[in-house]
Amino acid sequence: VDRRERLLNLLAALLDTTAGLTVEEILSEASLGYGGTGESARKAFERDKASLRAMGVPLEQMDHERDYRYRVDPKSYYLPDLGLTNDESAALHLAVTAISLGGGEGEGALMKLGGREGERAQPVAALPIAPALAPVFEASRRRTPVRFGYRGERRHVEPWGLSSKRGRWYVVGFDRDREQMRVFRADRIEGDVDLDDGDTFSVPDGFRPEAELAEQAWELTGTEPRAVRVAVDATHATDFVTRAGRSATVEWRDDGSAVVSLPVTNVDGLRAFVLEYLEHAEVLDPPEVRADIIGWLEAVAAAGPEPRPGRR
Amino acid sequence: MSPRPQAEEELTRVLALVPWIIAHPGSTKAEIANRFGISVRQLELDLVLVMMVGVPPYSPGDYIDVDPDADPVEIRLADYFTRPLRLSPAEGLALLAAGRGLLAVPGSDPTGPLATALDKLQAALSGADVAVDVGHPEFLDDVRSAAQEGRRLEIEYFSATEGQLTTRAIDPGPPFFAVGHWYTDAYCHLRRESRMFRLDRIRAVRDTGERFEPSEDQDPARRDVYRPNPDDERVTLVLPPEAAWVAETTPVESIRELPGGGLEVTLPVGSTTWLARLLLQIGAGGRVAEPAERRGLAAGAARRVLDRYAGGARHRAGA
Repeated sequence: VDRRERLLNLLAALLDTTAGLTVEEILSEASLGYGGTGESARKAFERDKASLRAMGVPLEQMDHERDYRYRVDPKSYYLPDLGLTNDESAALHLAVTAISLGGGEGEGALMKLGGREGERAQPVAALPIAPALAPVFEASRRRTPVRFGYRGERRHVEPWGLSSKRGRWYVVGFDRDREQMRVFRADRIEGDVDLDDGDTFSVPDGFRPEAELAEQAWELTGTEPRAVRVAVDATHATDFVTRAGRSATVEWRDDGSAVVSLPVTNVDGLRAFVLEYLEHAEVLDPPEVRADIIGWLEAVAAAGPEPRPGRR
Repeated sequence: MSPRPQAEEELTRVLALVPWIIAHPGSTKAEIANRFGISVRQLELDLVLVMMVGVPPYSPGDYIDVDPDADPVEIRLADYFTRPLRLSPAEGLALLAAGRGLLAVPGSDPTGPLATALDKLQAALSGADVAVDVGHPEFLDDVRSAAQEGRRLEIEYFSATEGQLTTRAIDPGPPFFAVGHWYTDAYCHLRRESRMFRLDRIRAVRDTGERFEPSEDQDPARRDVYRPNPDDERVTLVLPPEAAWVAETTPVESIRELPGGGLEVTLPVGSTTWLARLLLQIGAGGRVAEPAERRGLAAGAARRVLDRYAGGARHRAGA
């Protein structure tokens, strides 16, 4: 029997039963085509179960004597009718084609909602989604805390919301160990995301994840804010000031150079920004931030091969 | 987001198209195939598969009734597969993210059909939502309308690699957002070639009064922010685990995972200034593996910046 045919028939039979089917009943049903209850038939059934689960079928497993019974509850299997108008379906089609997320899930969702309505759009934006984001989204939807690796540590987080800014996705949530709101970059979540099934949390009314996101990399969660002054050459000053945005205060010099003061909570973010300007920007103070940049650069200089004589 | 095995992929499609056909009797094969993005031949194969599906006790009336040769198509007597399978978390997220993303693009109708569709979707996902911000550079609307109408623009543009402000005429392409910024893929009359311009680096825009023929090209591949030039040097970097972001924010051509969680990536490099900047951001944990003559680039750039810090201290003492 064609495996796809067997899987469809298995799924139909599991949807059709209320009491559930035992493994014996499934394997000995000739129309399902497992060909008996031997070892190879059991293995085939295990593979089919895994395939159904991978497709997202909510397969229920219940104890039955020394074995299990299985069923699929139509109420949790079937997608409720969203009642979309043709215009709304066409708008979702435009969105899925205009916004590239780096996977086929959007197209898959459109198929379930009745296929493609209307025209494709020209690509407008790329907002690639990290693999960790889907389980975190599900946890956020179900109000279930999650555990994941982040910067080499295991974190225990209530995911209050997801937000995308500057092309990156962030998880905004309450860190249970640190007892504080934290912002996590989704693409830096390490390994699998585990859901704390059975545990729940609540989110304050009117919570907006985007409000927790910093405008700039140096405003991300970190230390208490401190003013960092950066001197920028005339050639790069306008660009630096434009990108630094509203929270920067600027002192222009007569030669066109500038000293820009930034409210910094995250030195990693500041360092990455300032280093983009190479020798055209210099952190003046406070001393510990200046020392951080110098230390970082000295480490890079020391890690490189010896400079050739006379070149420096 | 890895591709699913083919059997699962095909079944997912069949489980989506059967309920649509049941709900839309009298639809033609061509219409259904187009809607689900498959050939008419594939649709017929799918219908043959569906015809074999029944439930216990598998008497003739327990099978899905469909004639794969009939056009328009009709499916009768199915009490199951009447609705599609619920959305997976990844599918629900993708739909919301794409929808919120397009709504965030300046100029989208905040109360139109996309907004109402997302409200319905959000309700079905028990209220879950995502927030998307793609920013709004000052000259986005000017560049977008010029691209649509084929109007040549004169722009003042700051080139970060060259460190200078230049004035040039461009024929802009439709703006798009990638790796955190808005870009236009434009023909540059100063350099006489297509160039990528970052809209937040445009300082001023003026209409030249001249026209050009807007490109009909809709190939998403052309929307890459960085199109490697065949003359670009290929550079191989070894990255520590904390610098894995390089693989997501730069146009890497190959990625290899190293024992211990690091990565080895190869990327096209058009400008050594750009590479030096990237290497300084990566820090001492990364290094250039190939070509050998670039192995000293990061250290050299770091020393030049350190020279400035050494001299800068003198400067301030005198100020």
